[in-house]
Amino acid sequence: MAFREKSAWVAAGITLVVWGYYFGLFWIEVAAGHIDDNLLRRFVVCMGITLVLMIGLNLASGVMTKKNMDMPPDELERQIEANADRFGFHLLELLVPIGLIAGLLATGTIRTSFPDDPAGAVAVIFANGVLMTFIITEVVRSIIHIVSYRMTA
Amino acid sequence: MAPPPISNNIRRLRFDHNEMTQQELADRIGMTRQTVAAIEQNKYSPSLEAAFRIAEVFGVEIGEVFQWKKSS
Repeated sequence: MAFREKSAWVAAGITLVVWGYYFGLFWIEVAAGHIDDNLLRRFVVCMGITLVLMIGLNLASGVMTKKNMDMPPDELERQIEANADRFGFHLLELLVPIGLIAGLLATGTIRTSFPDDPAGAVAVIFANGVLMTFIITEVVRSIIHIVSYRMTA
Repeated sequence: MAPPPISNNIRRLRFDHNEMTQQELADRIGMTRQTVAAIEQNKYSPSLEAAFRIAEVFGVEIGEVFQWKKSS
């Protein structure tokens, strides 16, 4: 397996597990009408775990395939990367407006669900919604990488 | 996705060149072994530059490496 395919597996796996946990918990809290005060700490911890695991696992897979690690991407890898970027960009173009419109439509509901701090709740939910669109896009990009590599394997 | 209408003799040429491995060929043309395998199995059509590099490694004309499949 090529080093870049391993990197795509690592990115997809870690993002799904860590950020799936983060957003799963977050939306459960939103549905319950109470956002944990430690949300920022949870976010920082998830970010830290992601960084450590990504760097660690990429280094480990790089050591195992040392020969490929230093090489720039070849033409097939650049083509796969370009396809994934193009699809990811279009997905982001689609998801961000959908997220923003959905957020605007739900503003009234959010305000009534969080009477203690309606403005803060709207801001936090908006920010997490936008962050989730980026995470989803990143997962889809990684999956496109993996599928493309498997199709040429 | 349909395979490109191009066939190649890379496997035979590697065999003729002292059983050159895919990795050796990949190193000589600046590609990964996976890409060479994809070209060899006709799952990916290389650029013209890469095709010339492959032909150069084997010391043959490009037409001896890659052939266009004429539609009937």
